[in-house]
Amino acid sequence: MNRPLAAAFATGLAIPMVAAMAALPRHGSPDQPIHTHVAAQYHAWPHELGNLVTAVLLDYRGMDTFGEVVVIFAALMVVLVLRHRGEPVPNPEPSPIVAFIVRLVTPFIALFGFHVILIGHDAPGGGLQGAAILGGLVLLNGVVFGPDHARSLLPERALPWLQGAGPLAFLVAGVIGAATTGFALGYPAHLPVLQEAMVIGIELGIGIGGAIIFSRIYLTLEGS
Amino acid sequence: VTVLAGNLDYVATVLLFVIGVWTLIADPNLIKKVMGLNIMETAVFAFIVTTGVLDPPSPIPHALVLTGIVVAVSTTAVALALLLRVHREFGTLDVNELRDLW
Repeated sequence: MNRPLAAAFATGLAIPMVAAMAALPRHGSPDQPIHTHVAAQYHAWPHELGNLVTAVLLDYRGMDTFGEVVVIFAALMVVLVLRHRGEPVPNPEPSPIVAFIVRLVTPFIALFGFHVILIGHDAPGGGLQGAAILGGLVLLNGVVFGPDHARSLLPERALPWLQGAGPLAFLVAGVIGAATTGFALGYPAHLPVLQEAMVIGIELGIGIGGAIIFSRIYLTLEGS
Repeated sequence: VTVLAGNLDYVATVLLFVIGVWTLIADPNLIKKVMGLNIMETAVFAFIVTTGVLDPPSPIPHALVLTGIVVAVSTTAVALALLLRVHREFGTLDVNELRDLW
C-alpha cells in the first residue's frame, strides 16, 4: 500500500472536518443542529411511556426500528448462508476460579438483561440494550467453557422461531395497531392496557430475538 | 485555536475517525481493515454522543446511536463471515498476497 498517499488522504480529510466542527456551537449547547430540527416534534409527540427514547424508537420511528430489526435478522441469515462446518473447536479447560465466577454471575446477568428489556418503556433500557447484555452473556460462556456449552444455553427447538422474534413481534403489533387504530403500528390511546402490552411485546421480541441473533452470529463464526 | 480548545471532544472524534480511515486504507490485513471500519463507526457514535450532552436530555442522539450500533454489528458480522470464507479459499487475508493469487 502507498502509505504516504494514505497519510495525505487522511490528513486532507481531517482538515475540513476540524474546520467544520470549529464552526459548530460549543459542547453542551442547546443550539446544536441535532437539537433544533425534529427534536421539538419528538418532545411534542403524545405518548404514555416514561422513557422518551423508547417512545421515539417504537412509536414515532416505529417503522424505522422494524427495518433495523430486519437488518440484524438479515445479517444472521447471511452469516448462516456463508458458514462452512470446519473442524470442531476443542472445549477449553477453564481455570477453576474463572469457571466458578462465571457460573456465579451468569444467572444475575441473565436477570439484569431481562430487567433492562422489560423496564425499557419506563426508564433507560429497552430491547436492543437487553439483547446486547444477554448476547454478551452467551459470548462470555462461550469464551470460558467453549462453544458447545454456550450452544446448550440456547433453546434448541424454539430457535428458528426465536431468532425471528423481533420482526414477528413487530408484525403482530402492526396488525393489532392496524385493527384498532387504522394505522399499521398505531398504538390505541383508548386502550391503555393493550397499548402497554404491545410495547412490552415488541421489547421482548427485540430483546430475546436480538440476543439469539447475536449469540448465533458468534457461535457460527466460531464454528466455521 | 481558542474555538477548537472549547470543542476538544470534536477534535478527538475527528482524530479517531482519521485513525480508522488510515487503518482502512493503509493496512494490508483484511481483518484490520474491518477493525478500521469499526473505529470509524465508533468515532461517529462518539461525536453524536458528545452533541447529546444537554439538560434536559434530547432523545435524538440516543435513538440515532442505538440504530447505528445495530447496523455496525450487522455489517461487522457479515464482513467477518465473508473474510472466513476468503481465508478458507485462499489461506491468507493479506491483500498483497491475495492480489498475487488472483
